[in-house]
Amino acid sequence: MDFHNVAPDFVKYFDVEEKSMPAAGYAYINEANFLRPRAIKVILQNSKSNKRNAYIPYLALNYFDRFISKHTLPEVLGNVEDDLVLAANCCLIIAWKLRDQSFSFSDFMAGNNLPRNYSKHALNMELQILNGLEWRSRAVVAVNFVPFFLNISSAKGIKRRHVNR
Amino acid sequence: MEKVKDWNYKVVEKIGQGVFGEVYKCLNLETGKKVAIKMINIQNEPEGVPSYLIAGVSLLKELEHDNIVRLLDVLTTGRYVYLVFEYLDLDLGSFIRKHTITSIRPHIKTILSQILVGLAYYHSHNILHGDLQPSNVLIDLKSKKVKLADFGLTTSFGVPHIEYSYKEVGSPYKAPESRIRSSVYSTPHDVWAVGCIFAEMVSGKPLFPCGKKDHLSLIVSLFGKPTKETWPGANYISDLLHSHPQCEPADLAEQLLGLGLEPPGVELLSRMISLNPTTRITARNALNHPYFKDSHSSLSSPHYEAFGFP
Repeated sequence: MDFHNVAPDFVKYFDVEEKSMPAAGYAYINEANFLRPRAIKVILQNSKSNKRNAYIPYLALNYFDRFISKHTLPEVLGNVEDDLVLAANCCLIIAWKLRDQSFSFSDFMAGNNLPRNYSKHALNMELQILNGLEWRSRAVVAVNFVPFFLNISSAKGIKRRHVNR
Repeated sequence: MEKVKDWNYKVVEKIGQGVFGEVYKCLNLETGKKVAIKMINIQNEPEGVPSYLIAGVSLLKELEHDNIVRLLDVLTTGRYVYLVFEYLDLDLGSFIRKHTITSIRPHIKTILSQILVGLAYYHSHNILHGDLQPSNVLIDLKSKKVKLADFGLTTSFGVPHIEYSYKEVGSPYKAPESRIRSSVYSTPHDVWAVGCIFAEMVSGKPLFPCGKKDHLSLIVSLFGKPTKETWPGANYISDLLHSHPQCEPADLAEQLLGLGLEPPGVELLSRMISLNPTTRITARNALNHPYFKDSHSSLSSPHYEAFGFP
């Protein structure tokens, strides 16, 4: 791609995008194919209370993909289904905390009807995910490139409201 | 800190107590290298990992610069997070205390330029320090480099709000506007702190010493009684200022010239400690100031003159 006429921010995104990607071959890991759709469901469902920031669920899924492509699902609650839900929620919580300093875990729990003892295990899972991501939580995701693709000639006709939707 | 043994580190001594936790000098038993380990206790366990830690560590991992202390590793156990930083022999505060103003003078320009290069780099990435002071400016005796420490962890506190009062607590290097808008940090805030550090290197003593007088009185005695024209912050604390008598600004330039600072240095310092943050010089522009004309310290030539020690 010719980067001569590309804004410096996008050049930076293209340069660092690789660091924000899951490990090679992720799409062919059976375990990931089983876990990912369930994680997407949890992330989408529990991010509804923050409609103003579409970046957060993208970021959360990026964390999930990167983590699961390199590590096994941490055993915290004792069964795969519960651990998967906890891991997906923790990816969402980390993304939310990164983007919104006023994020409150207790409000998040109340808003999503999560059990009270959840917070006890969430710290453990959060730390395992952050360690797995090497604490690199500032990731480049698809949303970062939306303005870039809107500016290329073939996409000029796309209306902003369609993109927002 | 017992736990660090499991990661092959030996605690040498406690070297600091910060807002976020204790700092220890440790030895990496594998490499033999000294490191500084900051131990952070996640106190509010039900809220999980604090957002300042998630954002701050991520920034530190992402950005690397010769004039910024490097984060080497992040270790966790239970509700403790250990940040492993490179260790430097000396901080600027001790350096100033151990030497006379005459013996420091030849090194001021290179130390100041390296501080500004590190700061300009971070400001260009929209990162603020918020707590610059001589103890956060570290000196690597081997490589003759100056490195800024404690970046990234002080930038994400609080929701911006205005307090219509004047806070006396905190570092004497904090800009006057930060004491009014207590949680709002901005890039001029950091430049003010560098100005204070610059003045301290020249005179050997803090520009606004703690203890003797309150900070506002010191501001008034140095700049004269501020007005809303000279300092927009005066509006917010007009009641407090009312009790201060009118006085002429001190002739800081004369004092600094008497201490051997060149006229361009006096001009640069006056622009770094401009009361009005909107007219304060930026770190980047400060590097292009005529004071540095004869040194290799601009952003475009990041190879600094190494400095020897007296």
